[in-house]
Amino acid sequence: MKYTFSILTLVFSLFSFSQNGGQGIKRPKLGIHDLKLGVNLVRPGRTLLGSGKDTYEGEAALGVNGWNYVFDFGTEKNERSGGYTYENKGSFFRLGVDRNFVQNPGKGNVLALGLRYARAGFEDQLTYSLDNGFGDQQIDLSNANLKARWFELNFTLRGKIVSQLYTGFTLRWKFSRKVSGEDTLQAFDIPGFGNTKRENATSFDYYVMWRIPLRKEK
Amino acid sequence: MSVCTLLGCSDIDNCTSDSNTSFMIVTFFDIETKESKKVGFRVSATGNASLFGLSTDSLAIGLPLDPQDTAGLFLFDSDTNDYSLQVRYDANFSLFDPDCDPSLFFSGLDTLSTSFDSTAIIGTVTNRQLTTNIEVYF
Repeated sequence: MKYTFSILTLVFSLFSFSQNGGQGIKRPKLGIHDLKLGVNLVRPGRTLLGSGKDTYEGEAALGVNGWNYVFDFGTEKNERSGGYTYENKGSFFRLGVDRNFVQNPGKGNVLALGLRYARAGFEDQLTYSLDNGFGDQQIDLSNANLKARWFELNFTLRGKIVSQLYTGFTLRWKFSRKVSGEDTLQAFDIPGFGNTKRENATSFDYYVMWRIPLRKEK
Repeated sequence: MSVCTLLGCSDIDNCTSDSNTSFMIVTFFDIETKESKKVGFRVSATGNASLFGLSTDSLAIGLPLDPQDTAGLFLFDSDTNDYSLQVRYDANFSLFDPDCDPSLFFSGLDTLSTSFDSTAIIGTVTNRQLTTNIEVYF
């Protein structure tokens, strides 16, 4: 927890530094300069590779004065099996803000550090046969109304490819996870977060986005 | 804090490193001296066809619990005395590792009734870190 606090302190310091213009350089006021809409290619890639995962995600990012206000929404379904069957499905969203450090954010390129608040609503089910000394027992367990929340520290890079088409990645460090609604079965997967083996998680997401300029470029 | 704890990187696990256990451990003590007591019992559980035999120099026994129930009654028979111990618990299932069978452990362990002189709950959760869940004194 003390490391989480230290890292967040560093992030807020960077935000403050950039807001002051770094070395006293004042940025021009841009107002609302663009909206980017896109999809995360890593998720359908995993679906196509047959990882037992069926997942999609879209992102909307509104650029305002060098800040990007970001909203992500996605769905995820995980199927795991061995001597058991575990199914987990639901949706998630992230809401947050990025500080764009590029010199002219009005052009749409992004080099940013940001924070996210994320929530997931999901359900899971375990079917399993075991003998714990009481004969063969069929275990059918489910959680119908699971909820999770977590926070993320993100590093984002977006660059122009052609016209208004942008691509780039987001590296995520996910922390302070909390799950509620569990009964006898403890959730293993959390849509948008990953699995619950560790308290924290990391991920790499690659986006293709279309930029809609909302301010006349000079 | 390790790097893996911070970053959540992949674990190197195998199925035997699961710390959960699907049985509770009962240890025996002399009511007068409070010292560990060597016993010889035949133990049976309601709903379980198996009979657990303890040799006369046993200090403890691991007893399985029914994951589809929330209470269990165990009968301890010896040549001289018979005892009973009824416990309550909550079953918990989780995926410790997707490549392993689901992990089963019990929590909220408590004594409902007993004919032993007294009992003490040492650990309410069944896992390998604990050497005792319930101490029985007689």
